[in-house]
Amino acid sequence: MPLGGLGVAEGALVSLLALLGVNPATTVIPVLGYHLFNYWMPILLAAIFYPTLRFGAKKARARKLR
Amino acid sequence: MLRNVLYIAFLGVALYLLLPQLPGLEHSANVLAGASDLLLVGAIAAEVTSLVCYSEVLGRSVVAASGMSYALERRRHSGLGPWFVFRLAITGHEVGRLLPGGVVLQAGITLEEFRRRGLKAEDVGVALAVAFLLVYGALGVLCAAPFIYLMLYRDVAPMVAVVVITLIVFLAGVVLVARAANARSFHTELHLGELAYLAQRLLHRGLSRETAYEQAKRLVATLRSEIEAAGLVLLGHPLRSAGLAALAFGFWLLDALCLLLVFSALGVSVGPGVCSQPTSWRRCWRPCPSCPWVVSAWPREHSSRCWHCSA
Repeated sequence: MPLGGLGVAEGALVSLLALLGVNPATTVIPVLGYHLFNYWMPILLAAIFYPTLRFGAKKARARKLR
Repeated sequence: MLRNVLYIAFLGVALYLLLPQLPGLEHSANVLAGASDLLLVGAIAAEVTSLVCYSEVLGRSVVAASGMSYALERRRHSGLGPWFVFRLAITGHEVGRLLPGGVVLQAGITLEEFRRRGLKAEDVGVALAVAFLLVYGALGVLCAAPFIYLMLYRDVAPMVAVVVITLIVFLAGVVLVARAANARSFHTELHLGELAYLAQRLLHRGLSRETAYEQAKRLVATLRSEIEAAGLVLLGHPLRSAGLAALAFGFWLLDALCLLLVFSALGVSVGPGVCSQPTSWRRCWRPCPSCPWVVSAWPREHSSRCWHCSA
């Protein structure tokens, strides 16, 4: 899904909880909070980690060849 | 185009349903001010541990597929230590989730970084296939439990039940056909060769029947060797396989725990049974319907592996 389902995932989660009898007005903020940890935090981590992936690659490859 | 229209339509429906329910700013500030710090920290820890589980499934699959030792020092010496695998797994996961190209891009980045560290493309391909199989197999099992609960105790729309049961029967049929094809490889190659020849005639490729048969034979041989390699990784060491399966389940269960802890931290009490169902259904729902990459992930990932293996 585009952008990892941003917007649709929250709506689906709130709707499913409403289906199970939980008041939607009380679940919106916790769902948004959960999405902060589940969606935005890994994106931030990935943005920090991506440039560091090639560190140590040459050394590891040289050790493997030896 | 259709996918974008569907996405915008879903976003519109979500906003239409959600916006009237949004509490006021003052109420939101009160809820956040009253949040439990300890539980929020626990939620972050659960989410990070969930990501660690995911990365370990990938790392251990790569180590098993390449025949290396599991010892931590040996892994670090080869450049496949837990920290590198964690960084790579998170990057690949987010790239696959956000960017166009999905799981193909994720497989490509993962393959490229492992090859940079001296691993063979075939081994990385097998490891990726095993990791995806474990992770999404665990999700399938976790989704089946709430579905059975909903069927037994709640009102599930008959159409939904029919669709899900049909999907399960279809998947079981695919597995049985694959097993039968593996057992009777001569007939499989014959039928596949005929299909390939017919397809080429339809596409006006102009290739001969012998060439089509050769291609089918090569495809069956490649598939068989890769399935055997994946089977060896999955079933070669029962204890290690059990550990991999536990990590795969841990990835999803810790994510559900994060949801529970956030709810508890913000003062909304729901039971674990109630929370785990939307989490697992949301994970299934997220890739559907505008881009059903869960269903197409295996052939796309496999074709990207084949392309990289031959490159």
